[in-house]
Amino acid sequence: MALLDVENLTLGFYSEKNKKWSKVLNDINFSLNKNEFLGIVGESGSGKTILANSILNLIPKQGKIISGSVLFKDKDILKFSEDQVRKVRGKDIAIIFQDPMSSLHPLLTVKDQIVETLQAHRLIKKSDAVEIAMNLLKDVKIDRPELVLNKYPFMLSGGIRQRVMIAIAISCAPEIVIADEPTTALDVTVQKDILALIKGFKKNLSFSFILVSHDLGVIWENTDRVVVMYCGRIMESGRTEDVLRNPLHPYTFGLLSSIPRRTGNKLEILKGIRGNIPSLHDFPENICPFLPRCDFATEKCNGPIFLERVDKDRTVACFNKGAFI
Amino acid sequence: MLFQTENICKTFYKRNFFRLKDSGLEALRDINISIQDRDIIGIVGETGSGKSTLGRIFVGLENPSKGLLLYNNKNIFDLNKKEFREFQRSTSFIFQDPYSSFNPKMKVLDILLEPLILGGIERDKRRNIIDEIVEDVGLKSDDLGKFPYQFSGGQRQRIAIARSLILKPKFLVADEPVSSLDLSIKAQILKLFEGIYRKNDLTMIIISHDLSIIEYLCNKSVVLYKGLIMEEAFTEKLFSNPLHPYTKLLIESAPTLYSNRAEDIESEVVESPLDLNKTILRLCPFLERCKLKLDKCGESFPEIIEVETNHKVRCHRYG
Repeated sequence: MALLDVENLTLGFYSEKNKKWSKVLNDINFSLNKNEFLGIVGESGSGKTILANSILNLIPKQGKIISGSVLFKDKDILKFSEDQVRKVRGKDIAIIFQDPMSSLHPLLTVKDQIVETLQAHRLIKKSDAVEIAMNLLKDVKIDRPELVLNKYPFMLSGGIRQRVMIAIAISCAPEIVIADEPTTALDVTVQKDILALIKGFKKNLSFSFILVSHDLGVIWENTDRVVVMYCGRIMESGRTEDVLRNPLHPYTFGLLSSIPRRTGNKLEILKGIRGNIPSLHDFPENICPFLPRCDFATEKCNGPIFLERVDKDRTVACFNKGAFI
Repeated sequence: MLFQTENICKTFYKRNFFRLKDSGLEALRDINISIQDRDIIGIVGETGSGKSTLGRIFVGLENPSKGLLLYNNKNIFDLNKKEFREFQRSTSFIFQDPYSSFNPKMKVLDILLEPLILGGIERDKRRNIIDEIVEDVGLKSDDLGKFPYQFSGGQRQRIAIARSLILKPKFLVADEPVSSLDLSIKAQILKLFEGIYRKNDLTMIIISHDLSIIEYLCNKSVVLYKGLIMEEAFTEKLFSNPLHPYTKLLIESAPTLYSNRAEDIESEVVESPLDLNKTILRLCPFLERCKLKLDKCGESFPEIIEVETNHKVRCHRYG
């Protein structure tokens, strides 16, 4: 029984230019089990962030759910009232946003921000909340947390800010943590620490984790299962080892071949992908979105495409699966 | 030898209310690099290590506080105005952010025309040069009538490359040329860099925090930390046999598709008031983060030593 089930989720944005709804998320289906690390990978503009946000019903004003549901413990979050969703956000499902610079409140100290979350979801005294906040900062491996507590976000380095974000996210012992590019703006050394930290929490606190990233290396090292997205659709999903070692979709294959690979003593880029991702108002509706950039396309690819199950835990949306092998 | 730097230092000062300088922020200390013709030098380091400042000094955008920058054996900061103009014409710079380095009100054609006008190219030759460069970087000729906002990040980076190469410079500095781009676009731009290097008589400096880019493009690499050169070697040597613990840490930290997934690493405890800019000159600057420190690391400041030919490292373990 999955903890979170996203079923046929389709989200539209109204495009003034084309005078119609364009589908930013198109028929998304995936599930998240308890204690699982799920990765969502894709290029920018492929709808990863929108997907992560719509799990918490954080849908921008111009967006509209066209169909589908997000079932958390068999209840559809998308049908919740605003009050009901507020109870879930931060408590059962927490999110770590992309940019630690702009997702912390610039006018509140770190202490205020952690206490705010705690008091919103639990009945506790402020002094107790401060103590919990202190312990949380200790948990995220900040030395001398009392110094950080009274600081404003701009006084902290990116790594510490992201640690504070994690502290806020885990403060109410959530069942699902969503991290949207948690380490993109950080140095590799800091990135490694942050990811090790999250992994450490997974062991102790046992939550499920959704990691949104464009970095295949990060996905490879940290997730159990992966969903590959392109143009608002899932191209391929399955266990990380299977998908990244034996890709079946030409897009996954193209992404992998874009990474400099070591052959002998030198790094080489084998192939790569030509062209660009279309902007979201030009997402193709009924044909394979990857068609204009695909080297393995056939005539069939002009028809409507669906995600097919090829294995127990593996789905691919392609007519010519593994054509490149 | 095209470029030679001698003990370049750069300190940034803030002035207080009474216009008095503060103690200053040392961005670079004692940088000695020599660049041969046709080299591609990679400068790698974390945020705040002084990579960009060094790159800006190389093209004369920033004056060093101390030290010499010799270009064809002449210090460029002693040149007169005319000679400096000439030097600037033979160098070029690609900025970090393809989103903010264009004038949003200029069309691509005007963006590319500007350096030609400033470079004193005759009017009737300009169009040919533009057409040629546009093809070289993989843009279409009808892109010339568009504004920068109409392009994606990768296309903008192509425009930036076209603009920087249009006067056929001998020397090019690219500051994080692909860091804001997607994986597939990154691969395209890296291949473009390779192509333009092969086609033109170019010497390049690539500044990046991403080790795989440095390893892919550069033949020599310099590792910077807190404004100091920590290690310098041919790229192949540096990546196959890194000597400095910092270089090792950087290489280990980079996520790859080939690492062992099972390993669990403990996260490091960070000190809360991180003060990256304070360099203590009595001891090794990397001391607090070093896992392989010796007793003498806390006692004296390590000098840079040539361990093997062309492999220099600043570490007490090799002293």
